[in-house]
Amino acid sequence: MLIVLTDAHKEHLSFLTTVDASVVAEFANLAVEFVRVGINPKLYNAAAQKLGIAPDAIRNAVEGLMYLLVESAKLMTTEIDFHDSILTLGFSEELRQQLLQLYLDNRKEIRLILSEMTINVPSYHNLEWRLDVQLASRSLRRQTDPIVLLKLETRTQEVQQQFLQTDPAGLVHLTSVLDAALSELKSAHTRRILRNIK
Amino acid sequence: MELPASVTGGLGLLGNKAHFATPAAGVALTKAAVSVLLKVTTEAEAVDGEAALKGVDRATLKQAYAALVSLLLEAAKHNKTEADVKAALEDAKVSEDRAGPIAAVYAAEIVELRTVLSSTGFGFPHVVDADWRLDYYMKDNQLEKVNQPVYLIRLKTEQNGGKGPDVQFSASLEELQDLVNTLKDASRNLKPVSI
Repeated sequence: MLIVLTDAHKEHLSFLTTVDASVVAEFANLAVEFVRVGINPKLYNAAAQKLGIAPDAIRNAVEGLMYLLVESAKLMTTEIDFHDSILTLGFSEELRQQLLQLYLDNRKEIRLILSEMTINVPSYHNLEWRLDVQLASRSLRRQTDPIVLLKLETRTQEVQQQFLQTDPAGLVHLTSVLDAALSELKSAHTRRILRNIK
Repeated sequence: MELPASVTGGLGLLGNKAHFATPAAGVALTKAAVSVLLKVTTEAEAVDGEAALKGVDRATLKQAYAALVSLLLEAAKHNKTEADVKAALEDAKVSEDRAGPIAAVYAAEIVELRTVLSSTGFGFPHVVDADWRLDYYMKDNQLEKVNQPVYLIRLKTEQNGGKGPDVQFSASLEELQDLVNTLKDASRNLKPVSI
């Protein structure tokens, strides 16, 4: 799928054709860095002074690159589609290759960053178990009740601990139910759907 | 069995012909006490509805009932035998022909009584069942072509005899595999000690 760029966006990026390849490389690194840790406007001014260019032009170019990278990563754009999408921007072949390489090098990390911004439901993290035998309580002496103590750790932003218990029969039941859930992934229906959604 | 004087005194009333004319009255009161402890009936229904207890003085009935409840709970708590209960009644000056049938009522209900006592305990939410759902996570507003299977799991629990809080979480295929392996490992390790 090709990336659709607005005219304003194209104009911002066209600034890159007017500077040296080394400056483009600098801007590209800046764009990747900003995707990672957020935009730092001070750097625009510093770069503007160094190069003798208006800070706004630099900002537009760097943020235009960021948008290009994020949008391509979001859509999981292929190598060819990415190359074709920037074909209309009037870049030299060398510059196109440079941007393509930048995209391929950082796609995985950008997708990881994007995935952290999505809806976060508690996910399984770890399970510890311990076997206890309850021997007596205040109201009842002489017992032998096996108890399986479970420490379930789930994670949203941070790891959360929950303490649960069950008996041996409950544990065996729980195991078989979740094992059945696992084997559902190997069923013909699930495999057909997984294969056909691309 | 060590019983306080107030309890032995109350039990002694059961052996007194002036208060409880027949052995059947003592047995009826014991059955009433057991059904109240097992939460089958209320005290008012169990005692008032009993024909064998009609002629007994209310204050005496109350004292004997309280003593019986103490005896039954203490005996069940320590898992005492029928003979132990009979001996305790005889120590409280209840004759053998009256103590025997009362102890027999206790022996018939000991398992139920201990179940009720165990349910008064406390603990972490007790997992009784699990629900699961398999989804295919395709895309979201930040990311396209995610395409990963995701399991949603809900553990159903019980606590203090009622429904406990549900525990809900998601797991990827790898995470669920890890969870099931841990559970299988635990189940395997439990088998040699199962009682």
